Amino acid sequence: MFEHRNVNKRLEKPSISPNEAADDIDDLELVDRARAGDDEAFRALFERYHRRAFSLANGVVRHRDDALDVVQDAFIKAHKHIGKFEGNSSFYTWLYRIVMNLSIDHIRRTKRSRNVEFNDALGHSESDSVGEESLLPRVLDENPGKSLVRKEMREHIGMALGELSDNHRAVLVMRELEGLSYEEMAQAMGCSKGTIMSRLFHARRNMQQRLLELMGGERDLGA
Amino acid sequence: MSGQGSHGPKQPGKSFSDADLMMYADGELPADEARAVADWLAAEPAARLKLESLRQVGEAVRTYTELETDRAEVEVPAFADMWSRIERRIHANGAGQRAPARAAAEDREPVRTRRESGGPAGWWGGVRRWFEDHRGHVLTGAISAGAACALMLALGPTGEVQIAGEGKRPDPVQRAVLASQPPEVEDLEVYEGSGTILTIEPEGKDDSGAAVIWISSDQEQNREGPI
Repeated sequence: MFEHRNVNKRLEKPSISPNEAADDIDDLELVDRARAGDDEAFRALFERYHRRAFSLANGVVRHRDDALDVVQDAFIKAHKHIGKFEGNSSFYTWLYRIVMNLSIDHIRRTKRSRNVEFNDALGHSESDSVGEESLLPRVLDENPGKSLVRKEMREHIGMALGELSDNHRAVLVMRELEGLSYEEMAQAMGCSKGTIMSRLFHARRNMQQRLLELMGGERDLGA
Repeated sequence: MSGQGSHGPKQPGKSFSDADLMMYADGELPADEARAVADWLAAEPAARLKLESLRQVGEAVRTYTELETDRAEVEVPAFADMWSRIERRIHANGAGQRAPARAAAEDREPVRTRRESGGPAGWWGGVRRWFEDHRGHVLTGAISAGAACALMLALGPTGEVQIAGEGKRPDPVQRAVLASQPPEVEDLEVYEGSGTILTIEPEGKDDSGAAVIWISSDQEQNREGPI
């Protein structure tokens, strides 16, 4: 059975614990304290989520210094506007929206959209259609997760991710890292659910195609 | 392929599109339709391979991104300093009480320009932090000194200088431009970088000398490129 919600459990744990007590306090309590001016509480939130936020930003902007800028700006923005956080969603959901918006703004600003919407340009950028392409009924020779410890494998996957358009990569990273629903991604990216689905389909299809080219496939039943 | 997934339960025996398969994999299908897809998958080896391939792509993306974060944590010094930079910016001019324009400018300040917290401790660390804070002033000074030097060299030897306006004492700027000695230039080797000191000697008892220290950081030059 396929795993329906691939939330990255590893990244949910705080990367550094400032102290034992902070770990035992839930996010909303920390938010309340931060709102009241308790900087240690805000720091505890930072320690809990900065690594995860960096993974998201780095997956989207694909430049470590730029991703650090994005995460830093996101936390400063979160601190500045924490009074507006109503607690309708989790603190991290609120934070990742800030991170995603800043990442997307960063991409737009730096005009790295060299391969912008190659697939979308074929007629489904803003439509709900996934077009005529189909997923490939092939799997890789190696388990990509386990093989990633090899430098060569990392480079291949990095290359394949880098060749995606920025929007395709953004939805793929959001989905695979955070396990967001189509609706949540649509809200975060300010587009329709159908567009998200189209982008995700083509992002995966292109990744699949490129990884098979780079790493080889073992079973091919014909597309 | 339906293009955007089907809505409503399928008839038994009907095949599903790749979009349906992806929605099934992502948990986006209603429960009854997800059950129908699961039944269909049991009899469709090619569809199962597509599903497995989707899973592999997801795993590759997740593992790659996590490994890149691990590497950044180890290899990028700014990663460890992130909180101190955030804290400094939050507290600049009082938390939450910054003037909007300044706050916006500070919020745009990129990580790579703020390395003060990662520098060496002690006296030299203090000098480096001062330099980081006053880089613009030093640059302006260096350019001004360079321009003055270039002007002096262009005017040639300065043994005898005729000052216009007989009997009138030249002002300090005129004397600096017209009668000063060429500056001494000295190279420095400093921690994690190199430096140059330009010294302009005083021209008389009532004149004062000047020195410009220019420091280049190796860290700045060797900054990590794109992944």
